[in-house]
Amino acid sequence: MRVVVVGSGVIGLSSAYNLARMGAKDVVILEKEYLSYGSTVRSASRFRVHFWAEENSKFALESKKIMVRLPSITGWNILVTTGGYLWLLFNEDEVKVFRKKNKMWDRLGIAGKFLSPSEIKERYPYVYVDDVLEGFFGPQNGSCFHNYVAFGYYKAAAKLGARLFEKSPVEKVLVEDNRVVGVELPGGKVEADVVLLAAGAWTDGLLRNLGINLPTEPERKEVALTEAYRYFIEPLIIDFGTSAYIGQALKGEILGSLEVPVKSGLLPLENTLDFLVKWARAVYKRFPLLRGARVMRCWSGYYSMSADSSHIMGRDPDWPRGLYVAYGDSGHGFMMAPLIGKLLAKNILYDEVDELMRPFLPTRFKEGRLIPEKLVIG
Amino acid sequence: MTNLRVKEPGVARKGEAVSINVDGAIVEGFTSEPVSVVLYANGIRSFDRSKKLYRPRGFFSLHPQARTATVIVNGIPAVNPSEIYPTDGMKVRTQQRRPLFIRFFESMVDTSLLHKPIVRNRLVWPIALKLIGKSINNPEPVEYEVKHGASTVVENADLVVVGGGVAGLSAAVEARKYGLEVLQIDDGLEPGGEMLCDELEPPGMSEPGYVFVRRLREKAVELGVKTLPKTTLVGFFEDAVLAFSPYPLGSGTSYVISAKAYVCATGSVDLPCIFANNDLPGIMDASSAIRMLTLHGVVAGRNVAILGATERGLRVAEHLRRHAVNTIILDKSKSSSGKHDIIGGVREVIAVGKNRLTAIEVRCEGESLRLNVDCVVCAASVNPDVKVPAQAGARVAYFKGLGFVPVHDCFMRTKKDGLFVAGGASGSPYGVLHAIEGRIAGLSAAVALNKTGAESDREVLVKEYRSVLKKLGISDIKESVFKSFETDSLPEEKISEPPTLFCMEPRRDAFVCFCEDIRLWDLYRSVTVYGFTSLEKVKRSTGVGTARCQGRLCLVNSALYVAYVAGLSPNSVGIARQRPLTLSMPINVLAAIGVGGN
Ligand SMILES: Cc1cc2nc3c(=O)[nH]c(=O)nc-3n(C[C@H](O)[C@H](O)[C@H](O)COP(=O)(O)OP(=O)(O)OC[C@H]3O[C@@H](n4cnc5c(N)ncnc54)[C@H](O)[C@@H]3O)c2cc1C
Repeated sequence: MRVVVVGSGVIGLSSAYNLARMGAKDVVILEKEYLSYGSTVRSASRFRVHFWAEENSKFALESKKIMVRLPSITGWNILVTTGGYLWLLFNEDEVKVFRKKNKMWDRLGIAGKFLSPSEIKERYPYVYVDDVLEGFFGPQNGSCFHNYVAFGYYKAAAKLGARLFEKSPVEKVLVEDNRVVGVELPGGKVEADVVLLAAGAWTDGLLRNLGINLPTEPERKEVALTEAYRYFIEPLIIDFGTSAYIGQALKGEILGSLEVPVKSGLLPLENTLDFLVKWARAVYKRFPLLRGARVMRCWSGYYSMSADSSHIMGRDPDWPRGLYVAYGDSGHGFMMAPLIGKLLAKNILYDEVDELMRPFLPTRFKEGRLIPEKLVIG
Repeated sequence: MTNLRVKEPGVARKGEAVSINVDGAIVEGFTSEPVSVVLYANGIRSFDRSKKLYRPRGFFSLHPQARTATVIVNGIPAVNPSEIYPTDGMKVRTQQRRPLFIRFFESMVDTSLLHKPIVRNRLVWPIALKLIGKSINNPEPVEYEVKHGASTVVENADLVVVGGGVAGLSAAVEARKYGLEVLQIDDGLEPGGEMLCDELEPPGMSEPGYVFVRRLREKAVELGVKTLPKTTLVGFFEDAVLAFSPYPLGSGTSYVISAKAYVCATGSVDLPCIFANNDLPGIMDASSAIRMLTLHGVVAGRNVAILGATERGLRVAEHLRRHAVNTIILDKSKSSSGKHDIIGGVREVIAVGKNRLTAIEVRCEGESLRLNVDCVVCAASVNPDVKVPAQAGARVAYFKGLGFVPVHDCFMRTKKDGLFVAGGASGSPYGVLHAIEGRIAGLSAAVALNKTGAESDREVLVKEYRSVLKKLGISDIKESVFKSFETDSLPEEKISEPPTLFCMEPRRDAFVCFCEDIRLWDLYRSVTVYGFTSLEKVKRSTGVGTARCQGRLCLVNSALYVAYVAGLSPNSVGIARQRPLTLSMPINVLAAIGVGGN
């Protein structure tokens, strides 16, 4: 049986690795540009367990467990840090929401902590808190180095026999007698029994070609990065109101983003001065210490947004046999990838739908079982 | 300490004498020279320590974008001393701290150790993490008061010329003749670029470079070309073009620009040569050695070794010898020559010294020798400065003999509409060509703006251009670039050893990236152990090209080395995608854009 994985982002690679590990003999990864060209290498590479939807929190919790063990699985030290996430809340409503959610998180064993402005000041003296009503701190959350996660998965998969072909853009999934038979590339065909579409923001297009319409849309997001400074910002700090976030990488660069209104769709991966100025203003206000910090670079990538902002994985029985998807991760796919890959491999090879995976099936949209996720960052 | 200031400073423009305070000691300098030069002239060569290995860092290049060493100035951290000019009483603090257990730290940051089971063990890792966070030598952010604060200026023009060298000035003058409103952006104190530092006759010209370029500059002023000195074009954004001047200190001025056409005349970058201990203070690029001498009256050393018997290398030697400096030229090709003191057939160079360069060991075929030098000048190879055109969206590709160049046609158009290149930035060798190309680019901008007469004048000039190319014997190379513009095909030729490589094995003390301490050895492993053969992947696995100098000094060298080790063509390795900003900008300046001013 040949499995073709379309896309070598972290989700495609984690799936390929797990497929190979569980015994798939012939795993082929097709990538239109180069290894992990898409959102994976452009992400902020943070992981968290605190989500609005319980399904997402549970999923993320299991995924994190695999993530922190990755170094011994793939042999690549992914530089895990657990500095936590600090949400800054500005009004009663926001605080109320978090108090309610914290009950659910408590049930899952991942309760966070509410901090008063003076407690925040004590722990993180560099944050301006005069306009903050309260903070919510999630100590279970953290970051790692996205490139080494992706490369590690790739190397581990390759060792087990999976093959990667770069510069191989899939134009179309080929279907005969209501089952997939392969994919079409500019230079010819690749036969396959199973096709997994893990092409991130580009998946919509491939599905639409097959007449499948899921409510998903790419959205361009921009990120900015400063030069390296002494490592001092441990948590990821998020303005709940504006969705502006800032964090520091181990190497010392300070990275962050905020939401600016853009048209959805595959806009060119460029940057706007509008974004950069708005982000700089947010940093200027929130971190007086960083007013002189020098911004070095910015870039952009896509969030693959789904209608309920939760990821989509698996297949719909009405689809051609052998067709699977894993995308629509709405800006938190990197942290979910370890578990997505594992459960999807089981699903593909043994037709097993894990309880954690069930809510995320693509059929949820027509069945009206949405998983509304309102804690989207950036 | 030897005195490095020359008696008769040639074309040097002396500003006023000032004294500044460096780590408590008073040193003398001039307002017309960057702080780096003041320090260097006073024997202070190490300004900083490197990020991971705490090796001494001075400047490799005086270019403001080559931010390889920073100092604290008047309490403001992470200031590039090559970017600022001294004022009386300025307080400069260098960084000389070196932790005791440096050997231990060294292994902590070694990427190979990061992959060792012991370090990636889940119990050991949190401890290692703490140590790494503490031991990485990054500047401390400090809250400081800026006296005058940031300001924003909005500029509109028909044509923006990036770079004020001979190509840029020629373009500006030519476009101005056709009535275009021209704005010129240059990062120097005075426009003139490389040629302003040339006391000799550039190839194809009959007067000293500085005389020619100064006259051109007067012409530009007379015709009403507007100039922003000490300013860098930092980014082409979707909604604006941004330029930045790092004054006042700790803050700065930003220019939000819109124009109908752009000429990139950003010149070329001297590539660092790669050899053992090539990061020692006292090793610098050819452009800085000449610049220091002719603009500031400071010689780079008293005994100078020059790597590369290139046109550029010989020019440096000739300039230095006029001021009684002993020079010796080392070259990889076989022929030695008594006339220029050239040692040929050099295979390997090893720099020796603790905090500064004191000698080099040179291995030629069969013999080795030790030379006591206090400076090494890297002049083996240049590459066009493609940061700006690449970031703007021009296509960049490798052509043998030219390097990675923005693909262009004989009208100097690039693959990005409204963007033209000229001079060193287009890969052309220094000299008369730069002036002609600049004029063509200026005319092309006029043509793009439908100015009458520009097209026929351009026809005439292009004919002359092609005949000069023939005369100089580089017609074939440049025509292959023009052809690639038409056909969109790229040369897929493999390369032999990179011209900058003076090292026989992938050593762990031969540095490719001075910002992040990335060695030849790291690149070699990325290719051979992990199998990464495109620069995008090498960059992401080693970090090369991601730090302060934004890849200015390392990307081309890395691409060529990877191509060489992997046996591929440089075009299949590629240079990684260039993103804004080309020069980093303080948060307070960005935050002020659109507020106040306009
Ligand atoms: C700015 C930003 C910050 C983010 N921060 C975080 C974060 O902190 N934490 C987190 O968990 N997530 C974060 N994300 C989201 C995360 O990056 C993505 O969810 C994740 O990388 C998705 O992985 P993927 O494998 O699905 O997609 P991608 O990484 O996009 O991979 C898809 C791959 O498919 C390839 N492809 C596309 N079409 C084709 C085709 N037709 N044929 C062949 N190949 C094709 C693409 O080239 C690409 O390499 C962030 C995203 C962005 C943009």
